[in-house]
Amino acid sequence: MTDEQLVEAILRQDASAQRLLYDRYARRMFGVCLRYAKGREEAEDLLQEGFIKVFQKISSFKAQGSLEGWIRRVMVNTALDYLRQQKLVWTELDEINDPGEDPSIGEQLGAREILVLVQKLPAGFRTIFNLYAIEGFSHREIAGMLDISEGTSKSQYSRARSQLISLVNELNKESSLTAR
Amino acid sequence: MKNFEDQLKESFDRFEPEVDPKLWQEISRQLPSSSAPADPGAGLASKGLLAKLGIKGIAALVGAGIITAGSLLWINRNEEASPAPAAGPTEITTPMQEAEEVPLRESTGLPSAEAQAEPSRPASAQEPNGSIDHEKIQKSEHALTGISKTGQGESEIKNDSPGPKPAPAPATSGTAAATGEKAPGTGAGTTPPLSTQTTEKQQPVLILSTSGGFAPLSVTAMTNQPGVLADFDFGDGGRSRAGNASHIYTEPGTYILQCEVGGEILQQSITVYGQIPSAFSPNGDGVNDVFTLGEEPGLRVEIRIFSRSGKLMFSGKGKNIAWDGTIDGQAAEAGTYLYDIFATSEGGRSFKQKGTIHLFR
Repeated sequence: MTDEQLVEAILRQDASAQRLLYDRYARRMFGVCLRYAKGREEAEDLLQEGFIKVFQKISSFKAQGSLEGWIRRVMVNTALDYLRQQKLVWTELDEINDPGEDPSIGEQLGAREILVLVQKLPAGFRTIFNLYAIEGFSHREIAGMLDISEGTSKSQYSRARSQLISLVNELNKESSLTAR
Repeated sequence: MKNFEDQLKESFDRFEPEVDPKLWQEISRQLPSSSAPADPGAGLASKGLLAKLGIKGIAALVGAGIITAGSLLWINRNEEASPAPAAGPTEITTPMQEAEEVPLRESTGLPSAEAQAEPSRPASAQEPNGSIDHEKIQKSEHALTGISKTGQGESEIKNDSPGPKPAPAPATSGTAAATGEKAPGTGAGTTPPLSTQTTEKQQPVLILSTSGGFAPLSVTAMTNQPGVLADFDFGDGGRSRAGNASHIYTEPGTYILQCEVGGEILQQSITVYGQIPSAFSPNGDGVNDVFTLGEEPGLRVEIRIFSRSGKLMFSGKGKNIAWDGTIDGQAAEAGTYLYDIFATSEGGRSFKQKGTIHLFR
């Protein structure tokens, strides 16, 4: 069943179609939620809220775009809603310039390992990092989404990036030691 | 070399972690449950909290040792496998649990009446897309009764209380609150079908560890009647009289698993697909050079293969999936690898299967 047929079936109130859609995307979307959350439990809450929204709003999905992209956007928005409730105070920091060469993430670091590092970042860093580096929004878009200035988005990102790079370097060092 | 962002993006693009099977049940309960769909925005904090309490309840009961396997399916006798995984047992609420839940709820500062009524009310105002009409709600309600029937305990508590009370007693755990929204929200009109469904206590339910998979397929069957012997007939000649029974299907086919317990006969079909190899030897000799499941018409298969240390070696989906024992063009080491299969049949039934494969060189 294609995504389009699936959406049609859900709109036709085919009871099994909701489950099919969930089965098709839950894991990938859990991956998204985990990146925004500080831990597994929070990610599960986000996934749950996100899918409820997906089913409630599915009629507003326009078939021109990809269903996955749309669902992902719902998940990200859910994560941002959650973040807003935490009422973070965003400040514009000094930008950190080039912390040296980009590390190679290497073979031994899979998504699971990087996730642990991403979850170590403070919530604000983590969010901006996700939005910019993984979701691919521009700083201007992020500024709009989080109601912060573009400069804040940029400086927060540069901090997040350098913090994450040093975490990756640390881990690379550890794993090369243990490999020996 | 690729920059940092691209490397990360790439590795997350393929990231599909396991999702706790309990989550779907939580979601499906909240979906159609009231004439006004729960509002995702305003209700977030309270619902999230309730959901969390629910999960704790589940953990507590599962901890009691009812179920240990990851994804047991609660099979309802009348419903065609509406898979309502492991959360099932929590439905059987004991008075003790009620007592525990009450202070928990109240300590959140949410008066129970408000907690119950609130999610069902403001939704239509905030979500005016009208996508969920009344017909759908009715229908989904039916879908839901299938689930609630598997867990009579809690629903029963709800429906024992006469009609939609103005302030429902806080005797509901977090999980029940989701279901409970329906009763007060939709009023008397929709309550009766639920209560008729749930008047019997401990109706026997057949629980299977999976609804299908590739041979050799190990299936564990049990009922919700602890300590009661049941006669299991696995449909391929295998029989067992026990509280719970395991069986390995070695041949592909569709089998009807029957279970007789307490004078009732419960049954569920199990589909066994073609053999999954236990080893392969990618040495180019033309014999077992690739690890493949072969083609199963009508089955959508995803497979991921991991090394012992958890590194993803291979992933594939669709038809004719085959791993040639290489990763990024390099021959993988001989040894044991773990596979993780997720498959969905055309009928919409899905199963997961894990196992190991030996790679010889």
